[in-house]
Amino acid sequence: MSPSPRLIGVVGAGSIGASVCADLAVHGFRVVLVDISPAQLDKAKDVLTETVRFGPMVRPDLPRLDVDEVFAAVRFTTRLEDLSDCEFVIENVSEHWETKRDLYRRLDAIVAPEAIFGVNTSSIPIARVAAETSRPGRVIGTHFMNPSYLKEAVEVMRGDETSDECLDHVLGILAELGKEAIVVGDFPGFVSNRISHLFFNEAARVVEEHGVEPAVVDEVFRKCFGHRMGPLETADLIGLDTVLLTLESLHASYGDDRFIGSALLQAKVTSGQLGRKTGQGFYSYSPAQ
Amino acid sequence: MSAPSVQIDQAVIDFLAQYSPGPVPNLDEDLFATGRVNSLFALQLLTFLEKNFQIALAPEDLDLRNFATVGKVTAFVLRKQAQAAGNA
Repeated sequence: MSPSPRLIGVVGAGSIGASVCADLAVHGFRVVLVDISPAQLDKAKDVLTETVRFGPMVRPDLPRLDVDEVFAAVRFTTRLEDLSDCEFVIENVSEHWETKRDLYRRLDAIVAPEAIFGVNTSSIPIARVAAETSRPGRVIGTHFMNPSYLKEAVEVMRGDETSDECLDHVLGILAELGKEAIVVGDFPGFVSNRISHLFFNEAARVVEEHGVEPAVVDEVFRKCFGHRMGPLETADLIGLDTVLLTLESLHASYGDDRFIGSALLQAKVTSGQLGRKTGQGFYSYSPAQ
Repeated sequence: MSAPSVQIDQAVIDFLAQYSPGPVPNLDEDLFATGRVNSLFALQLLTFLEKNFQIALAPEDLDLRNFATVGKVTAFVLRKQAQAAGNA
């Protein structure tokens, strides 16, 4: 008899949480996906269906699976208590510190003490999160990118107290997802966002100060540097509110004024032009059909 | 009854505009090769086609070449609708 599939928890069913949930499910894990919003959980179900049915078209090494069988292995719930038996919980909630802090205090009381917490954060130091738990050695940063199942690697942030055993365990799970782990240290923004958010901010300043069209800025990155997307279209995809929040967090951490959001970025957030999700950011997008 | 091809072309172009700002593509522009969209768009496009044109995609349909240009997407939808009508 084959062993029961391993049980992984995912907290937060926004775009990245739903994507991580789907990635785990198509790789044979059982998953508990938690969100406070039933509507968000419904959207995550759509993402899972889409990934199971159509994912193999864009990533041919993904198995062709039966949708009903995959759904039988995923529990969609609004109760954190349903995470109690998970061996690994990947958290994907907002970057507001108070939200994360309160969540980790609750998770620490609910989830088995030997379980590992993976912090999917863009800028908050792992040590700060770990200090809110009774298991700092079993807290690690796992910065998944969206869509998770199409990405070859995950930025893994090892805190000062993260144990070797914890790191090995997480690397094993990532290997089962077919991903390479790129292990970095624990500092605000880590490698990815400390650098990328300066790109976003400076790109916005080039538009603001020199009148360069956003499409021109992005074209330089795509055609000259060979990036898949330019900084401004990437910022629109992430959400300009999220980008500004991360910049504020980086500014608070480093005290470096380069991280103060440009006036144009701040104006767009204030006026509700948050990027693709609102139909208007640095670019205009037609409304959803 | 199937939609005329020009109507399908326009629906696909409108859907594309949510993901790719800028000028409207020619019907034979390779959307992936030109970097206008990425593979995530392809997945969302398939869901859109099923919901809006009452077609059901089968595993053998899952070939990016079917969806590389607006013209190919429209041809695909018309083919699936004709198949469905033939089986009705």
